[in-house]
This record gives sequence, C-alpha cells and structure tokens, in this order.
Amino acid sequence: MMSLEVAKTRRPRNDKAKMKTLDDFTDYCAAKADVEKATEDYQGIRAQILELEEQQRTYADDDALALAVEQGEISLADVQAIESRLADLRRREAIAFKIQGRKRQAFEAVRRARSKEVCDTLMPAFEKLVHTYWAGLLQANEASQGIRDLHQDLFRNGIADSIGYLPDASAGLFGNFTNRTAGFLQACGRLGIKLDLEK
Amino acid sequence: MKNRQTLLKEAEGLYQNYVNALSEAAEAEKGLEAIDREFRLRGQKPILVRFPGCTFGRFEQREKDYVSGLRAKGFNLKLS
Repeated sequence: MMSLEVAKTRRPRNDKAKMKTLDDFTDYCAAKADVEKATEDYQGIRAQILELEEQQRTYADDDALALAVEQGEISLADVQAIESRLADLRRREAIAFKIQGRKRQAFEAVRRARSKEVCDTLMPAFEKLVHTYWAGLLQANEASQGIRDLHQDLFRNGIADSIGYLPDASAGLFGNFTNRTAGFLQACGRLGIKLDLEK
Repeated sequence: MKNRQTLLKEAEGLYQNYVNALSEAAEAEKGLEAIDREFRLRGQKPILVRFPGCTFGRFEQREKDYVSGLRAKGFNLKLS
C-alpha cells in the first residue's frame, strides 16, 4: 500500500496533459506577432500617405500647379490620380488603425489571462536574451570569417605551420556555424521575434 | 608583405574578438536556460525546444576550449 508521504509527493496524473495544453509562450508570441504585423501594415500605409501629401503640398497653390502643368512637370490627370490614391489610402489607414487596436487589445487579453509572471517577467527577459544571443552569434560569425582569411595569410607565410595547428573559428564543437545562425534566425522568425541582420 | 609579428598580433586580436563574442552568447545561453527551467517549473512547455537544430549550452565550453588551445600556442587571450 502506498504511504501517505509518497502519495503527497507524486505528480498528479494530468500534469503531462497540462504540459501539452498550457502554452503561454506560443499564445504570447502569436499575439505579439499579430500586433507587430498590424502595426507594420498601419505604418506602411501612413508612410505612403505622408509621401503623397508631400507631393500634393508642392502643387497646393493654384499658381504653382498651373506653372508645373505648363512646364510639363505634372499633368492634371496625375494630380487627380494622387487625390484618388490618397482617398483610398486614408480609408485603408482607418481600417488598419482599427485592426491594430484590436490586435493590441487581443495581446493585452492574452497577457491578462495567462500567467502574469510568464508574460510580464519571463517573456520580456527571454526576448532580451534572444537578442543578446543573436548579437553574439553575429559577432562570432564575423570574427570567424576574419580568422579564416587571416589563417590563409598565416599558412601562406609559413607561420601557421611553425606554431602548429590553429583552430578554425568556423568549425567547432557543434558543426557549421553559419547553419546554426540561419537555424536560429528561422526559429525566431517562426516565433514572431524579429532579429536585425546587421550588427 | 606583413611580417610574422604583425600577423600574429592581428590573429590575437581576431581570436579575442571571437572569444568575446562566444562569451556574450554563452552568457545569454545561461539566461535562456534559466528561463527554460522557470517555464518547466510552471508546467509550461519549455522554450528552447522551439529552436530546432540550435544546440544550446555549448558556447561556454567552446569558449574555454578555444582559449586554452590558443594559449598553449602562445597567444595571450583573456577569458571574460
């Protein structure tokens, strides 16, 4: 018969099922990626609007427009096209703004409904570390390329031979360094974490 | 053509850059692993399995091996 002590310390049977179903990380990443995508869409439209408004300002004055048309810089059809495009973009901007707001609300709901500790402490710390890790990978990659070139110089000059084998930074304990970088980049992309490709 | 001393000094600088980068990644790895443990403790699916093909927890060893190998060849490298 099982003692009371053992029974107390044994993990409940549904723990394993819980591991599969509870996934704050996935929910957090998906909701955050949605917000970022919606924000990006909105900002993209805003940028197009600003560009067209800038063009429109150039010919805002009737005299300036008349002169530009006369000199063949722009046609009246072009002006009309800009206005029509702006109207369309402003409509899309309003929609994108609403979508962005909804996605943000959904993200906040995920944060509220999931563990506060996971969403407010662990996840931001995780993202920060991912970026630090990535910076290390990029830096190491760059250094390893430099080392490869330099080793060629050292071998050419007979220096590497005289000091014996020099470890190549690109080959090491876990195989191809570039593949590791690419794999990490892809995985982060799938999780909605955007990494800078440049240092 | 660069002389031996210049090339070796250049090599030492690049090795040190490389080791510093490994050190930075190793520190980040330790943090990621700590967060992974926190997730497990809370009954959550661990985080690092979401990075298929990326082996974590090796940078620190790699850094040490690299530094000791180069020190044996006379390079003056600092292990941060």
